[in-house]
Amino acid sequence: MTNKKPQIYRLENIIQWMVVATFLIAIKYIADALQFITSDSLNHHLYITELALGFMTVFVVAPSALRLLYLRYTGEFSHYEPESFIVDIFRKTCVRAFVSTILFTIVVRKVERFDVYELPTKFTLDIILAFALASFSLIFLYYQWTLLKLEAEDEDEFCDEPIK
Amino acid sequence: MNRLNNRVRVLRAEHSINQTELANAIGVTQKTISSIEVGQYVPSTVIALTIAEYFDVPVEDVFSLIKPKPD
Repeated sequence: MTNKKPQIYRLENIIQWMVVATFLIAIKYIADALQFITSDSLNHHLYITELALGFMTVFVVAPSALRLLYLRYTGEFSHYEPESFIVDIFRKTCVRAFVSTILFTIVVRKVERFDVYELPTKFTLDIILAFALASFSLIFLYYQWTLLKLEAEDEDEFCDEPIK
Repeated sequence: MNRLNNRVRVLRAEHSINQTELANAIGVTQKTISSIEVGQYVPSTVIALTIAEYFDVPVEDVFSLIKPKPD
């Protein structure tokens, strides 16, 4: 038992930045898909947006990924450390996002069969990828919001305030 | 289905420590302690035993099962 701040705080921080990056990539794919159904003038703006999102994603992901690699390399994470609420909801989110993406893919596949739209396969792939990434980040945020809500409802005078 | 009840908050109050102090002492985050207290997160056996060890009580004094009422 140690009184210094546990390494798990770092891992949680990395996971949260990864979720933000996932959401940015989802928007990038949405912008990608929109280029097939919008005018040329709007496409130029979408292209600029995509570039900006690309840079933002690298800016967000790179420090987190490097930090994670460094901590793994130095062996600062022990076997028991990745146990936390954030890691738990990360795992739950992975499962739910995977299942919802499979269902969404089946629906898209069915819709495609009826030739409702005549768009390239890339459009469909972009939409599915955008859905997968967006659902992942939104489900994760939902779990976090649920905890915040429960904490807010839980009126207790000694939550995280130092007890006199 | 059985639900998990916990006395982490009560024990914290008895020992006059806040969530962050307990979290740092047992190597988890404040959010983890908070989520255990509100019943949002069911802790692993390792965390449950570590909390019990920290308060120097049997794990049954910290965590217990709430059994559903028979129909």
